[in-house]
Amino acid sequence: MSFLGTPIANGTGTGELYYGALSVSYTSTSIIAMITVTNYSTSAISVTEIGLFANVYIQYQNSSNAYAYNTYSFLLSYDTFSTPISVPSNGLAAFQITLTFTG
Amino acid sequence: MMVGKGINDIDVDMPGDAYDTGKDVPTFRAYLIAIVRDSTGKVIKVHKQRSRSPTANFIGLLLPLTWFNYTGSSITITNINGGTCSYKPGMGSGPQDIAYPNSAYNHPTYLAMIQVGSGSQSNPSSATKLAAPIPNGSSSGQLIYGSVSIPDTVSVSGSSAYFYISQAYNNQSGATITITEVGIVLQLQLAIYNNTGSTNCGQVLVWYDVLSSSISIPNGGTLVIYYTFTVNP
Repeated sequence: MSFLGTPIANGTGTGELYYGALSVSYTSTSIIAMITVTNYSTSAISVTEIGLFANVYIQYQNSSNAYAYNTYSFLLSYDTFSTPISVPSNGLAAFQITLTFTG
Repeated sequence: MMVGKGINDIDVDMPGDAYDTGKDVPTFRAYLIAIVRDSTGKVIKVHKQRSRSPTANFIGLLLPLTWFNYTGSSITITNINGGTCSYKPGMGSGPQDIAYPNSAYNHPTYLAMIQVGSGSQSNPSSATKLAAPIPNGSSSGQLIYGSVSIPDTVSVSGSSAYFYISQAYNNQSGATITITEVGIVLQLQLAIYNNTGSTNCGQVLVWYDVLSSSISIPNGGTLVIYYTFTVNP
């Protein structure tokens, strides 16, 4: 699996959610990612799945001795919700994913 | 905006599966397996246990750029000799990032070893070194460390995927050696993209486990340790 089944686009139009900035914190054994999405459309939007994407940047000096980088994006975690989450018009929802490396 | 006591009365239903019920299915697990052979090559012990202990160094190196950009902070990496270096990755010509393995520029970051020891410590996440590391050698109290082995590919089976690293040790010390702790050590180099600046952070402990029971390697015997990392086990 490398992508969501039906990703919800970032925006304010019909069927879209406006994505806030991703915030990250951590503990001694976990990394916590949180994002808030706002529904500026006129209808409720139902969220049924969530994924955490990561970008890896490989930076290097190219053959012209200039700065360059490649970006590799991949799906780091994926979940479907046990029950859909409905975000009403002009409502918002905060989602948090905790990656725990012990337990 | 004013927030009063009423904030405590907001009725928010927390979904039942958001709580830690102890019944959740893990999506990531690590295992430690040790196989001991005597001097004739006969397997005399197989030790298996869950591995639970990334160190603070590991979490710090895994933090995304988002955290560094948002907080403006750096983290301190402490190596196994007690030396420290400041880590604050970024894009462009200023920051020093984790150097990609590249011997041509002599700025490699690589898996240095699976280190074994004869001590223990109670808070593995804060560990920066083994409590009593066993040195590489053939003298009393030493083990001869083989090369660490890294697979070329990740094995996939259905929805599960895993890879493992391993290392062999030979006991030529003249007596039995007992190990009680194991750790994974990286050689970490930070560098600017065009190698105009770099920092050698040294050998850094990123994973640490105290063994659930001690393992003895007889004189002339060998030990092989496997660390397996798996998702959707």
